[in-house]
Amino acid sequence: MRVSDILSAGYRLATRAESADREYAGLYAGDLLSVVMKSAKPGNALVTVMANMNAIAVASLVDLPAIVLCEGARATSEMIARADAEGIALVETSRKAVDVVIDLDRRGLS
Amino acid sequence: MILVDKRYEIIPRDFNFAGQASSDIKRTLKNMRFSRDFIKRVSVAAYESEINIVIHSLGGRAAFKITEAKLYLEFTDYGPGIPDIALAMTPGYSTASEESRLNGFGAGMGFTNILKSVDRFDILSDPNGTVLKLVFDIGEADRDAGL
Repeated sequence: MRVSDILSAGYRLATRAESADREYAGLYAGDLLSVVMKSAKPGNALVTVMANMNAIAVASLVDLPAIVLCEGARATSEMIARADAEGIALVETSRKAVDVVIDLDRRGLS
Repeated sequence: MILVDKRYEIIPRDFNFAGQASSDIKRTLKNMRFSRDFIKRVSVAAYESEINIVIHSLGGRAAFKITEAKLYLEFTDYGPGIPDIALAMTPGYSTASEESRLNGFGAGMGFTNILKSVDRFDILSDPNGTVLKLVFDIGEADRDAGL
C-alpha cells in the first residue's frame, strides 16, 4: 500500500509530493512514543495526534514510513523539513484516530 | 579493535533537538550494515536513554563504541539522580512533567524498553548524576552483510 492510496477527501499530504509514493504495511495507532516504539512494526503507518519532532524521530528510528496526524493536528514547518529529510510522509486529517483506522480498514488500506 | 568511538552532548528540555544522538547511532549502524533487528534494539534503547536525560536531568552526554564483539552505550548525566531506581524501572511508573507528556513521553515504559533491548544493563545513580551502561553482544546474525 502507498501513502497516495490514503489521500482521499479529508486527508492532506503535508510533506513533498514524492512522499506520497512511500509504501507502508499496516497501521499502528498510538500517542505515547515509548509504546509506539515497543509495539509498532517496521513499515507501519503511524496514526497519532502527536504533531511534534519526537514523533518524527521515533518514526525514523523504528522505520515507520508515514505518519497520519489526526484530530486537526498540524505539522510545523520544522516537522515537514525533518520528515522530508528522513523520507517520511506526513498526512493531516481532522478525523479522530479511531475513525482513521476504521476508514482505512474499510478501504482495504490497513 | 575499536571500530567506532563517538560522543554526544544531550541538552535538557530541548524537545526539538532530542533524538539527535540516537539518530546518528542508527545511521552509523545502518552504514555498517548491521541487521534490521539489531539496529532496532540499539536505536530503541539509545532513544529511551537519551530522552530520559532530556526530560529528567540537568543535561548529560552519551558515548558510543563498537568493537568486533560488542556495542557499548554509556549515558551520563549531571543530576539530580534517581531516588528509587526500582520504582523508576516499574512499567508504567513515571515522574515526567506535563510538558514531557505533551511531547509524547511519560508512558513509564522507558526502562522496560531499554531492558528488553540490551544484553547487559548497569545503572548507578546519586544526586550528582546517573550513569547508565548498556552492552549489546554482536552475534553472526546481527551482521547483516558483514562489517
